[in-house]
Amino acid sequence: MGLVQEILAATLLMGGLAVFFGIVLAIVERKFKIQTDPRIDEVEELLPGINCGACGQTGCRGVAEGIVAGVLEVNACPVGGQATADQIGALLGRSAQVGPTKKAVIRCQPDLKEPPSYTGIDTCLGYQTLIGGTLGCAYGCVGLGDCQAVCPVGAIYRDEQGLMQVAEALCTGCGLCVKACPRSVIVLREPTETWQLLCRNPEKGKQVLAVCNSGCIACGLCVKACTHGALKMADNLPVVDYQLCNECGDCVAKCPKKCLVLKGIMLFEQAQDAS
Amino acid sequence: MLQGLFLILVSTVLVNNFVLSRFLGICPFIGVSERIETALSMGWATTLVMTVSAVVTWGLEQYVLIPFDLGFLQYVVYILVIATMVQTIETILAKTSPALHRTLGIFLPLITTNCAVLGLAILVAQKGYNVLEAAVFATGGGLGFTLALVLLAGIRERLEWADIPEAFKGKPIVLITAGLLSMAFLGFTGLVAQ
Repeated sequence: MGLVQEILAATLLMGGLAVFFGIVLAIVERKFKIQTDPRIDEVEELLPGINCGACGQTGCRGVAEGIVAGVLEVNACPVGGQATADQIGALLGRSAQVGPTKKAVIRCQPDLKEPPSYTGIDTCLGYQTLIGGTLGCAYGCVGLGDCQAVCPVGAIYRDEQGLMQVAEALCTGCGLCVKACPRSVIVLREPTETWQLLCRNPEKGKQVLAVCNSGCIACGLCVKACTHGALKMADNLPVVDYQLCNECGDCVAKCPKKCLVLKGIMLFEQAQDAS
Repeated sequence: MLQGLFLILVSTVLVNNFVLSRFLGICPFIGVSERIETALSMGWATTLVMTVSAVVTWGLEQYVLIPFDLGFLQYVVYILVIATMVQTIETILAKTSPALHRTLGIFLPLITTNCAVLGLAILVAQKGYNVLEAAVFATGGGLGFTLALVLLAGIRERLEWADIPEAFKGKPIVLITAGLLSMAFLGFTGLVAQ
């Protein structure tokens, strides 16, 4: 076979195969065509696209499918909030009010008498798995920053004292930190739930006092200070009835350990301190 | 006959494992072995593509390339076939089995550039297998690929908890682990004489 024939045969074979496969692909594509709603793509475009899973769906694509199918409301994305809901609503001609987003609150600001001498795996989960509650307080923040690492929007930071804090303006309420915390120190609070106790230790005052300077010692002064009957003691910690609490701040002023706060509300004394 | 097929299967899964003995498909081996779940998905997708493309390339080799004396076009033709097969399988799967399609996800198109698939097709031609042997060889190759991926993924999941020296963190420790795995598979040498 001469060179020309060889080139010709190769060209014919490759060209033929390419055309043949092209036709096969075209037929398969036509035969197995899936009708997808183009609105799904448009809705997906409007969503944040961080696939955090806070909505409980399999990612932003799943939410978009659910919204277009009418299974989910247009406000299904808790991270996107009202702005996203409005855009999607305008696109689909539906509307839904979205409540203000929840905020994460770290219910412990430890001031331990003796910081645990721990040199193991540098994560809260590692700490909890390896030594559990054998050092210091068994209930409070370990402070190794699993929540900070998992936060998709960088709302959790470490302050000058080395305590973990939530920047509420940035927090989208996705709840990933709640899942990440091995000691369940973090919860999501509704915007109306301003009263927060920054201590999780349910032991008696003496035991708490032995390990931590800022833990609740179950003195009950807050309960006495409350003139609305919103507080009561349970398991050596005060619990609140948000229906009765009117955010007066009397309990916060009385707390000797400064572990009571009204989140998002600056009290008179604090405002003075700040200025 | 059956015995021969079984030998081919054992040989490709364990003794001549595509990843750990022939060093084909190293890219997905390192790239998609972080989680056992994804490793399994990748493994199944590759097995499927390998089996289908091995049979099709076998047909092309026997009935087109050899009769027309066009063996030098082997590589190009095979790559064309594999790419088409991957695309076809993806389209069909998306329609007939959305759940499986979602599981395999992005891994399916990635297989187009998996050298283990091309290597397998060429090996089938070199070894002169018949169509049944080619299919078993391809299935075995896919299963071996899956096995290697899942083994490494399992080890990597555990490695996340290990206290690895700073210099070895990330890919270096994975490469060392892969090397050890490969050495472990040397133990199967001689199990099947071929």
